[in-house]
Amino acid sequence: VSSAGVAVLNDCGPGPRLARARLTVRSPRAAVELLLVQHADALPPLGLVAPERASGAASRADGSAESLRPEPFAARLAHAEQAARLDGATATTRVQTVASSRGEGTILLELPAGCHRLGVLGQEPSEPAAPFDVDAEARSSDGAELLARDRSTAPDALLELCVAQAQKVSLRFGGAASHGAVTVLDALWPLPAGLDPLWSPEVRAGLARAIVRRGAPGPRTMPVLQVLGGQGSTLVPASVEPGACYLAALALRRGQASAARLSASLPDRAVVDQATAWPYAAAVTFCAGESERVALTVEVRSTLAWWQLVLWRVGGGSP
Amino acid sequence: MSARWSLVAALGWLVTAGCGAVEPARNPTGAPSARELRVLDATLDASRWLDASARVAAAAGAGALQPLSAAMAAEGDRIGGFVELGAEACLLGIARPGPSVADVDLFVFSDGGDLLAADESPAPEASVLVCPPHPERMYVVARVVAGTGIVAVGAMPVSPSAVAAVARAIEVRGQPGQDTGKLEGWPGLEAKIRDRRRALGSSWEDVRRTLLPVEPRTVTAFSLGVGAERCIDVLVAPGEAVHGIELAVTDAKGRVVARADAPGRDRALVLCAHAQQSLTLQIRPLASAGVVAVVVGQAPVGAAGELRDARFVDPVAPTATLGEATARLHERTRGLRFGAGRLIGSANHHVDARTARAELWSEQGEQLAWAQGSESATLFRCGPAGVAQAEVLAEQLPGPFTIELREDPKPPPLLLLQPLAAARLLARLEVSHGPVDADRLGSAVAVALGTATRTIVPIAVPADLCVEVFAALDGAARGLELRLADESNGKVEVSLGDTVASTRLCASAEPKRARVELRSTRAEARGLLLQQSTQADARRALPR
Repeated sequence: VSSAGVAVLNDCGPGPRLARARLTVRSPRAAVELLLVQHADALPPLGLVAPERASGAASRADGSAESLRPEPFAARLAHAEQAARLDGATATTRVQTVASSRGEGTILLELPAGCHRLGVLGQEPSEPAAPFDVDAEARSSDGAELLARDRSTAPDALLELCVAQAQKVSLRFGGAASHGAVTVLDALWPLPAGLDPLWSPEVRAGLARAIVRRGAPGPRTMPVLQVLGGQGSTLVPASVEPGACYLAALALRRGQASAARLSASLPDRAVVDQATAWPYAAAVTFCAGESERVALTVEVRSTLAWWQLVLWRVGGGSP
Repeated sequence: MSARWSLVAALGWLVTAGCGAVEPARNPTGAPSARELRVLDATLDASRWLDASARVAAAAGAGALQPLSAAMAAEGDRIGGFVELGAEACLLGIARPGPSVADVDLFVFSDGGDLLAADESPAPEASVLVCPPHPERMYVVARVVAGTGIVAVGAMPVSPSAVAAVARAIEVRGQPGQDTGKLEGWPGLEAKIRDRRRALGSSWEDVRRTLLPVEPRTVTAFSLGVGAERCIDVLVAPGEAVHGIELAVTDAKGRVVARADAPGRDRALVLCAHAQQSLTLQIRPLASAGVVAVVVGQAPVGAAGELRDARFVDPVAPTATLGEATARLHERTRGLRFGAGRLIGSANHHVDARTARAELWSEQGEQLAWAQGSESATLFRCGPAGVAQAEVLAEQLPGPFTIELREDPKPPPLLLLQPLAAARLLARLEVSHGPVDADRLGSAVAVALGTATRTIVPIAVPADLCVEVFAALDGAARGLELRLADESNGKVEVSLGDTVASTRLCASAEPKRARVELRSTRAEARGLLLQQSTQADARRALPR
């Protein structure tokens, strides 16, 4: 059954077993794209590959959803650590704490530069029928800036954020078992290589987050175009090399926004990414095909915000 | 009421009657019943937030505070209310927020929507003063720019003798045309904008004002649109830390359509378009990083002929063959008193019919008319039969063109007495109203203009209509000032032009009386004045 418009059918094993599949479309009309992937490692979650389709957890329509029955604490922790390693994390760190009697807690983390996936895993409650849904949020150490939040309905909370320099982060959680053990698993990925160290930490962190969230290849070279701008809609025409592929990423430099959107329009297609949560960073990838120009459009909804758009060439075309 | 609705209403009454006889039961789930929740008929007390400033103003001579409104507001929300004020008194409007609101702007409008005063400074408190002449009824409204929380708005009467003291005690902003504080990080920027627009001619309204960062190795982009037959004025002023900037304008396809030139630190352009265009400003600092202020103003439709240094930015606009362009021209001009077109010239080279400038010169070397067009351009000449030379200049690529002559053998006699003024008025009307014939100037009047005195012509604006006023100089005189004073609120619109100027005034439910004041800015001259009524939302419908 599809979720957010995507249905996934997996078959693993030494030989071909899945010979034939039947697709039933329940919508009155639909355009369907089939994607066949042969892979050795686990595929990343849909929310990372196509975040615009990630609609979050959905409860049962009749409102009588049963409590989730998670795996044992140790098994979930091991699986989370293994998944991070499979996704390319270069280091994982466990931080342990104990929830309050109300299942809440706050810990201060000192995160090194890089992109972090913070899994907040709690010991399951002793009462099997008790609700078990850990939520968490990460804020700057002074509490002023919300860096990431997970309020989905799931036993464990997952926060993803990037920091361009070592930063103290306050992590608050709730929904854990009363006085239960809670482990924060910090999986670390290095920042993409193509981020100019002259850019501000906020811009580098935002660009890195956009690239990682989009699942885009990290740039390894210096950008071919850098653009600054303000709130509203801004059209940025850019020259591209036919046959080459590009990564465009957008991050806020200053101010607050309520939404940010980045699109790249070529004569025969357009790609879009939008961000409705901090750090309001977005990224798109495209190949120029036969075109020599691309129209990049940045839309930032805000009363006062400055943004930075960076365009990298990431492959294809003549060297 | 239909039978279906009658039935529904009857059922509703029966159900209501049945429920009304039963004591409300406690919610079986244990949740509190409606009895434990009361909706209060209460409002926020605006005085609580306004009193401190009101005491300061009162000590300086202001009258009693009249709280207008207070509300919980988020960014973009507006709160306000109407006030009535005697003709001799000034109005002090104040907006004061709670601590969680960082920036509030305050505006005062007339009943008809005319802006009377504004404080757009980036500060949490906003104050404005409106002094006579002003309308009896005004609307005071605050807008939350940054933050979320309580905002209160109030008004106080101030006698004219106490205005200076109150203005000193409460930091107030001025009336339109004065410093509104919107970009107060640039002292003198408002005055610079006023001076620039006065020098450009016509009349201007602000479209956008913003601050943007600039950095070496990086381009700062800012997108804007130019409406059909509109001109915009772009002024980019670098901050003190920025040592020079370059400003280029690209169209939607990335082609550079204009570049701003030195001298001075600022860069500015007047950009006009025959058809709607999307443009992007590209700003590059020469070396240093910092901030620039971008101020964009817009002139009325068809004002290009009134401006100096206007550049048309239409790219290789809608392409058409010469035959198609000619056929469209014939279609648009059908029914005019001007007769059928007579081909008087053509060429297969020199000119691209898509973007061309055409000029008409007399045998004595006097420029009679000029026009710029994307697909066609119209030149007007009035007067007795004579010889003139038409020149056609390609703006972009070469291509074929034709010249057709149409004649109106019996124009209104006044047009023959002031032939240059008549031709200028017709050209001005053509741009904003589409194809016109000489009869359109039938109600024009001749005016004598001095440099030290203003020629005054009273006009009446009917209810729910607008009156457009056009003026043109005859002969070789240059420099025209056209002022339109709205007697209902004392507001004066000033439009300047080299040889032509225009303005317009609209009335809401009540008719208005106004005064046209004309002056030649350099030498005594004569000219024509035309006023015509139009619908408030009237726009030229035909493509050019």
